[in-house]
Amino acid sequence: MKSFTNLFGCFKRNPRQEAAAPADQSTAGASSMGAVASGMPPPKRPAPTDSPGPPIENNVDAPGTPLKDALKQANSAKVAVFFTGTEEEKQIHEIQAILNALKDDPNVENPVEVPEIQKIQVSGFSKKAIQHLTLHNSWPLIYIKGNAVGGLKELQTLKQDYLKEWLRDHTYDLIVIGGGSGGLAAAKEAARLGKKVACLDFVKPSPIGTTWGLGGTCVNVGCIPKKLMHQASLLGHSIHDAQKFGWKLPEGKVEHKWGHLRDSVQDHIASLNWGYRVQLREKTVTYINSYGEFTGPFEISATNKKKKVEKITADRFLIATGLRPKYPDIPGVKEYTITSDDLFQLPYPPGKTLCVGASYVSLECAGFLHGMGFDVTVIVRSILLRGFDQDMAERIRKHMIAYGMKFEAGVPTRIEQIEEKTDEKPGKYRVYWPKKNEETGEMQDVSEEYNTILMAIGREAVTDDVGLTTIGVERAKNKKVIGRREQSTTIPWVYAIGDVLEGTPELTPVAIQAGRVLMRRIFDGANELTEYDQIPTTVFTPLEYGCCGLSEEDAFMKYGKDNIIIYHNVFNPLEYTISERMDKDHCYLKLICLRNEEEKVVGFHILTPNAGEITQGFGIALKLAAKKADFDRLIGIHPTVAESFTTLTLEKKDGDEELQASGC
Amino acid sequence: MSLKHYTAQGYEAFQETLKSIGKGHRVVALFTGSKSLTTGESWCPDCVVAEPVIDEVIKGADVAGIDVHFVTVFVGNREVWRDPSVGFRTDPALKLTCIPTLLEIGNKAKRLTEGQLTNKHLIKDFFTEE
Repeated sequence: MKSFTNLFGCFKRNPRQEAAAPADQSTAGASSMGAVASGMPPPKRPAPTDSPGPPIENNVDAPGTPLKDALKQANSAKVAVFFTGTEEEKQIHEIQAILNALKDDPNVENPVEVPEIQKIQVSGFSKKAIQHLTLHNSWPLIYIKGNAVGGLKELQTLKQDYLKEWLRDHTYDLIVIGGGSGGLAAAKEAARLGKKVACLDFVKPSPIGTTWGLGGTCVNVGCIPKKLMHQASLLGHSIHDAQKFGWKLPEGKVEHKWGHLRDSVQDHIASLNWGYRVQLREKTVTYINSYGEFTGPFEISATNKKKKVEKITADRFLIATGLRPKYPDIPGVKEYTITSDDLFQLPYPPGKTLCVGASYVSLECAGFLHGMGFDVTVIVRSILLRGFDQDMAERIRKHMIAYGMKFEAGVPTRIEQIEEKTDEKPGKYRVYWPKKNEETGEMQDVSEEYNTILMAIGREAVTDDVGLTTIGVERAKNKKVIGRREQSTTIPWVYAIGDVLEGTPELTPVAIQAGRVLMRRIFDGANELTEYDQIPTTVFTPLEYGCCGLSEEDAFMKYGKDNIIIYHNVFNPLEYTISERMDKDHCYLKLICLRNEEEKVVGFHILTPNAGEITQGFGIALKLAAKKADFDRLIGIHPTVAESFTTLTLEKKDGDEELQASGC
Repeated sequence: MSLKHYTAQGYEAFQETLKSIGKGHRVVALFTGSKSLTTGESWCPDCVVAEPVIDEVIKGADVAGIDVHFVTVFVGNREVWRDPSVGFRTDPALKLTCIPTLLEIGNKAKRLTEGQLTNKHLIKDFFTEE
């Protein structure tokens, strides 16, 4: 019992005392805890991020408004300027002069009101914090209607008529363009903060006419239907396995009905579409089912299905228009192929399918279609899962081949229709691509017939028709919006989140988090940022791949190969032993650690059933800067797959033989 | 083209009404507590609150002109409703768990219940959204 008391005693121990405790943590721990493992948790450190973290306060007596109040004041004033001392007085006068120049003749109809600048003095520490929060380095820093603008120079580059219009009143506090994961989360958060919000959502049909309701890509043509179909495929295998576990199945083949699955999936999506409609109403967000386009710096022209146009204005705009599938430039592609936009509503079973592309969209779709019994080929130009850890990508490829999926190397150059599709059955198409003849070494065209061709070569931002060039919102070459802390680099009252924002991971939870945090920052003066690093993800291939942090390649590039140590292992999930599943020979995991930082874990990778659920949990370890030793002193749960992370001893070395798993 | 309003007392009468409307039509049903013969008021307080709101919406221009068959179904008294084997609860096409409930026959996705039926915007959305 004594050791138990000490165990609870150590939980109650004041963390401050820990910092003062002797540097040798293990002896301090051992003396009072007896049987409990060595050492208390190490003293709190700031979470590591790729960019330098926020400044650490060390001078609480500096003059000026406290940071929290300062941010709130800048947020609620019409025009505010952050400054530190008298040296900025002259610039502040010049800023006021620019504003005063906008004053209208009082006889003019609707004269613009030019406000007095609210001057907010802050300490040097707060200055650094504000600069970190906004990534605006100019000082004094101007805020107009709660938006960071920059310094005097940035103010001078703004068009005068834009500046004047900015000071006028507008109908809404915020117009969100795009009712997907990011847009909806942001709209609801802004409404929660008491703002008047409108959310526009409109789906331009796919080339073959597919369209869908409110909720964006994830809900309608992405994560949700994908995961349900992936589950359908896994269940097929479970039925098979069940027999080895003693279940007696009725005679005959177990078959899958595509239409039944599609209808169930679409029913669920419809309930989500309706659920979002209800939510927006209940949270007093004005939902407008129209396509939005900027026709003025603060004005959107919204066109509905019947081509009726309505003009609305706002103080701020949030672009959350996401992405759509890309098509290659080859003849016949838009008439004869489909994309993920169309797959989940396909009126007929896809039949013999060609998945074009090496993206996770292509591999996930190919995977579940194969699991349902369709003849599936994946055709790729070069490597699989570009951007992901390539050792893991290769393992996925090996698994899929062992699973029975076919791979071709090449790029389709033309597609011919052999038989037209109907409402009840797919068509037939011949796809051509160049392949190296084994004997002659020359490239020659080969071809193959398929019922369905799924294009999954990538997704792109469709922002040409949103009027961004009209108002001058800067876009990258890929047409995504360039942002700095989610704020447009050129138009300070326009923001962007989610897939359409350049340089951020294309993931629903990222968009949701970014949306909520951004709303709190710009509407509530919150000192909060979205952390875009160490985001856990999972690829839902038939054998799932979960990862968090860096790939091997990125770790080598960032820290140098000599500084990296990789612990790895293979394992057999217990559930797969009796059922003699081939997948058990492919399960694998690794931790990528830094030699010179006490083996801090910078990369986590696992190929296993249920990878998503496992990776989410371990994601918190990376966020808290866990080291290999922390994983070691964590005791596993038995029998599970995840416990393998607690007993890693094998180091990955070049020239190693393939690991062989043993049972437990 | 206009909204056609029916009433039905109880589960069997509701099934009869559906049969008489026939297939291929949009049918929306409101399930609500039956009214007392003496007081004229329903035993279900949420239903009493929702009634005038729904009435106003279906009379409004946006909804009155929609091609839909709208059935107000009085489920019965409290005892009938509470019975776990009552048709309204067991019928897989309905699976009611509370009243008032507004649903569209054949559309599992859309449903409005209880407090939601005091929000006239939501009710209007329900009818007007495709």
